[in-house]
Order: sequence, then C-alpha cells, then structure tokens
Amino acid sequence: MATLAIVLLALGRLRGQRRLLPAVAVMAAVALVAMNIPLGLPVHINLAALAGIILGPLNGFLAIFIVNLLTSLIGHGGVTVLGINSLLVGSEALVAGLLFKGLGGAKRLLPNIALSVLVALLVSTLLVVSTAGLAGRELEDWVAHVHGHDPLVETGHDHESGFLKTFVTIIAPLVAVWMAAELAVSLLVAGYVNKVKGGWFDRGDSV
Amino acid sequence: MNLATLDNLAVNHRCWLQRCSTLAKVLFAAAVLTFLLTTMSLPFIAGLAALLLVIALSNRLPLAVLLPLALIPMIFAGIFAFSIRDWAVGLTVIGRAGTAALIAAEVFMTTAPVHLLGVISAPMPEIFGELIYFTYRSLFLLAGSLDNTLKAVRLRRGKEKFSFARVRATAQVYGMTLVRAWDMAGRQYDLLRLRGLGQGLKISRDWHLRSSDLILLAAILLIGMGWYFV
Repeated sequence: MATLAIVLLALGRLRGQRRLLPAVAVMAAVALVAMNIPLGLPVHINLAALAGIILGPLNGFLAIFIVNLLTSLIGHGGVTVLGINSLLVGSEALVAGLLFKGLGGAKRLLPNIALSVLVALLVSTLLVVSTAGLAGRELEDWVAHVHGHDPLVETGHDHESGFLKTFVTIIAPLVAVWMAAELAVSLLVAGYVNKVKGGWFDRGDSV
Repeated sequence: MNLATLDNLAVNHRCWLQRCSTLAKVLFAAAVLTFLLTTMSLPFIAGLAALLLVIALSNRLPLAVLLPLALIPMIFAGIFAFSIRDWAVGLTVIGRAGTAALIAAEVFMTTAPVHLLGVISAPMPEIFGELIYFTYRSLFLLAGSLDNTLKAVRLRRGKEKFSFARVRATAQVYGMTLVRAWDMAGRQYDLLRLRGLGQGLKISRDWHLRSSDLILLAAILLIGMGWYFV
C-alpha cells in the first residue's frame, strides 16, 4: 500500500511535468540493462540511488518501481513481493534524492553523491534486515503451526534472533560487496557523466 | 535475463496458451498466485509446479529459458529457508517463490508485451501505461547499443577477472549508456509529441474472452480442488 501510494503520488506529479516522462522511462531502462552487465562479482548493481539523484526522489522511486514490475513479470524479481521489493529498493532513490538536494546538489558533486548514496544504501540495508526480522517472526509462527508446538519453548533457544543471526550472517558479505560496488560505480558514473556533460547534475528539473 | 529472447517468444511462438486471451491469462496467474499464497501444503505446491511444467511442455516453451527465471527467486527464498532451519517450511518458501516465478514467466512468454502491459496498466492512471510503454521501447534501443559497447570493451580488454580497472570500465559503460539514453529521451520526447504524447497514448486493450480460455478455466478448477483437498 505504501508503494502504491508513493507511485500514485509520483504519477500525479509526473502528469504535470510530462516532458520528464521519457527521462524516467530511460532511467528505468538503464537500470534494467545495468543489472545485466557482469562485474565479476556475485552481485549486480541496481543504480537506484543514482536514479534518485538524477531524477529526484519521487521520479527515481517511480523508475525503480517500473524496473521491479518488469523484472517480476518475467519471474526474475518475485511477483508476489513486488510491493515490498519496490519499497526497499525505491527507498534508496527516495533517500539519495532527498539527501542530495538537501546537501546542496551539484555544488560539491562527488562528495554529495558519495554521502547520499552511502546513507541511502545503509537505510535500504536496515530496511531489508527489519523486513527480514518481521518475515522471520511470521516464519517462526508458521513452523510452530506446522509442528503443532512452539519450537522456541521446546529447544530453549531464541529462534527469532537465531533466524535473524543466520540471515544477517548469510547476507552480510554479499551486502558489503554490493554496497562497495554500488557506491564505486555510482561515483564513477557520476564522474564520467560530469566530465562528458559538465553541469548536467545542475539541471534542476528533478522531482 | 535475455529480454529479447522472451519478447521474441511472446510475439512469435505459436502455442495454445498464446491463443488464450490476455485477460484470461492474467486472471489465471492471479488465481494461481492466490492459491499459492494461501496454502501451507508442500504437496499442493509441488503438484502446482508440476502442472505448470506440464503447461510449459505442452506449449513447447523452452525450459532452458524458463527454468533459470524461476531459479533466481528460489535462490533468494533459499536464504530465508536456510535461516529458518526447518526443512518443511523452508521447502514451502522456496517452492512458493519458484512456482510464482514460473507462472509469471509462462504468461510473459506467451503474451505479446504490448497486450500484457496494457492489461496490467489498466487500473493505474493513463500516464503509467505511457511510462511502461516508453521504458519497454527504450530497453531494446539501449540493449542493442550496450551490446555493441560491451563487445568493443571485451575486444579491447580481453577476458579478465575482477579488478578495479574492470569496475571502472564497466562504470564508464554505464555512464555512456546513461548519456546516450538521456539524449535519446529528448529525441523520443520530441518525436512522440508529434504522435500524440501529452494527450495520452492510445493503449489497445482486448477484454474479450475466447473459447481457448476454457482450458485455463478447467485448470483453475483443478487447482482449486487441489487447494481444497490436499
């Protein structure tokens, strides 16, 4: 519902600025094709934070929603978790876009992008862990239902923290690699674009 | 994920699922997902996955394309499954993810994207349909140019393992793609304004059901019985 509300809000704003529509669409397309470029690492980047910086928080979120919708349609992104996926990845666009504006935008381009992307990735990771914690609680209830008893009581272990601990242990190295790659690529892309098209991040047409 | 292959199949592959109406396929997928999300029965999920595989085989859908698409959500679900440390619930979580991906991919592979996206965007504001249409169109324009760039980079750099230089080269490819895409967006905007952008693109939506949809109706009834009894 939260995803839908943000998407509808963004669409409402976009309706008043139709000339930004192709920009949102091509940013979504760039993010989609970027997923397919091999980095030589066990992760792919999504450029969501950069989308938020380039298009603005709301349009960036919208672009990421389109990416998730299209990937879920081909099974790649999980059609049943489209809403939560979009919220988690889209939060990077929202946070990075807002922070980049708040820090003064393109005045100090690379430091502002670095800080915005880093904070956005940290917020998104925290949201992922929190969501996993909630999902873990549901899965624990499910386990109790399947076995007809509460395994927490039986074994004396704190299964919920066990779930989160295992989950975090598995994803921590991947998240570390992904954050480093996403941050490095975002900075390198911004540096490259700024070199090729000076003043591009100063357009001021983001929403 | 090779979208061009999927798009080609969706438009040119001839099979009974493709003869069904888009609306019926979307409703079938919605029904399957509803049954899937409201069950905790592992045998039911296994049976449903088997039925979807039979549907894929009877439509001659290439499993080499279809199965990897179902595998990716299963890997992510596998992290949750492993963390819960209960094999029955873990398998159910993985099974749900794979089966949901399977039905989504089957519908996508047998429905012309313009029809599918038209039906999906129907409940949303009109501008959403334009946005999806634009994105899908841009995707193929970008993918073609990106393929050529990556080929040029590979020819120049050769096959190499992970290094900062590789990340930097990749980032430059991203940057170039972004700049090209942005320029393309401007041109597309001007072009499509001449073709009616701003007054809302006309998206064709076919709401008619066909006789071949009866097979999907029978499948829904079969799955519903399985959901109730298993």
